Amino acid sequence: MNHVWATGEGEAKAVHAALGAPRGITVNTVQSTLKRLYEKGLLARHKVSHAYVYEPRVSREAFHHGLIGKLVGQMVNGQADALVSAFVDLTERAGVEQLERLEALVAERLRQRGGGGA
Amino acid sequence: MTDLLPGFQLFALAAALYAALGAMAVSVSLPWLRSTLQRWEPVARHRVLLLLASVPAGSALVLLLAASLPSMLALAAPWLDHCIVHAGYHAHLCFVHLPEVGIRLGLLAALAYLFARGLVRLTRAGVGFARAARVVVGLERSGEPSEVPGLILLHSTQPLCVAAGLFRPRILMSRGLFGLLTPEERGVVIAHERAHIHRRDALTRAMVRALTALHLPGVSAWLRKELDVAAEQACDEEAAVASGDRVHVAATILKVERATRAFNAGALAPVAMAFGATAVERRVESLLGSPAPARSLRLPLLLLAGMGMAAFLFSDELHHLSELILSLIAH
Repeated sequence: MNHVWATGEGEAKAVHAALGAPRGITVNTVQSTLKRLYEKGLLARHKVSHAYVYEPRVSREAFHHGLIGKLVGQMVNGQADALVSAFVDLTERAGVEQLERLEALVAERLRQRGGGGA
Repeated sequence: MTDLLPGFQLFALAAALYAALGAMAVSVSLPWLRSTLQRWEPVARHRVLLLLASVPAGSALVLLLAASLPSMLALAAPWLDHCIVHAGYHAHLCFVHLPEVGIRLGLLAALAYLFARGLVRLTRAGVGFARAARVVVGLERSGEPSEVPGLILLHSTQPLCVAAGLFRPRILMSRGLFGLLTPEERGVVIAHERAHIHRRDALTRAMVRALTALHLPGVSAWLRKELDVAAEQACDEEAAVASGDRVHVAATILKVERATRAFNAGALAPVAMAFGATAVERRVESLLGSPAPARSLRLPLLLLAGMGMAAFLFSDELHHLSELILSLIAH
């Protein structure tokens, strides 16, 4: 998908030349991978001469948006909490008043420091 | 093989009783633990909480080994066999004289229920874990490696930064959050997530989820929550050392919390008040205060080691007491 997103489109031979050959993967493997991605609805394809040319049906943004939504859902449900640590806890939100109180405390501390340094 | 079943049932019942004893001990000392551990610095607090989480499993293992010691000695040296003295009087927690009848049907059903419940939970956790792992791998592979080593950028406006993975964790940060933060703030977030990776928090958390299943439900939830907060605070402290500014770390947490709240308005969980202050409040307040002095774990470790040694020193007494209690309830 990374390759197709970067190039815009490609046929199996071109993808194989870019990715498969350096890794020792056969053209058949690349072809079947592209076909699987097409069947999953991630790629679109049209025939040019005898070969299929694949292009992304889903943008990287949409793909990531969907996966992140899934991951956040799994974190909230507790399915992913043994695998993922978020910078801020997604299973609870601080109340608005608490958030404002903490922001005021931080601002006050920064102001004191700025004043002390002046 | 069927001859071994009654013995297996009795040993399983003994292990369950020892685990329950450990769980009760933690439960009874909970009010004291809550007030005491609150004053401890996060790294030591996290370690003590880990020890507490493993108390029921540890009790079951150590007490079962200690109570079985006389029987194991009899197995190795038959002239030490004492069971003949009280043969037929009570249940034998013994490898030499395995019981011939199983435990009460009610107890057997209770044990089977607990075992089945544990198995179902484990299976559910495994399935959930596998699904989450697939999503993480998908994000890792389709993400864009950044100039910062170990950081993968995700093409999404949703503010998100996570350390993801059990054995080879990576930092995944959305472009939305990346663009929102100043380079200094990004440094704080990355240092925090790197600390999770160095501390192997994901692996610890997976282990804790299994260990706390043996605790009473309230205690289990408290332990998980406290362990999570302690791990976050420990990573905040490492980020503070890396950035050299505790207030700056606190400000970054608030900025990310504010952005997450704005983006997910209504979609994520509302204010959680189950255990008082939220994790964000506790993290920020801790960073604005003075760092708590480092604590040595020598005393709790010595205490636990002493209790374990006492169990083996008094293995005869423990063995007989266990057999007495099992005789009263098992058959």
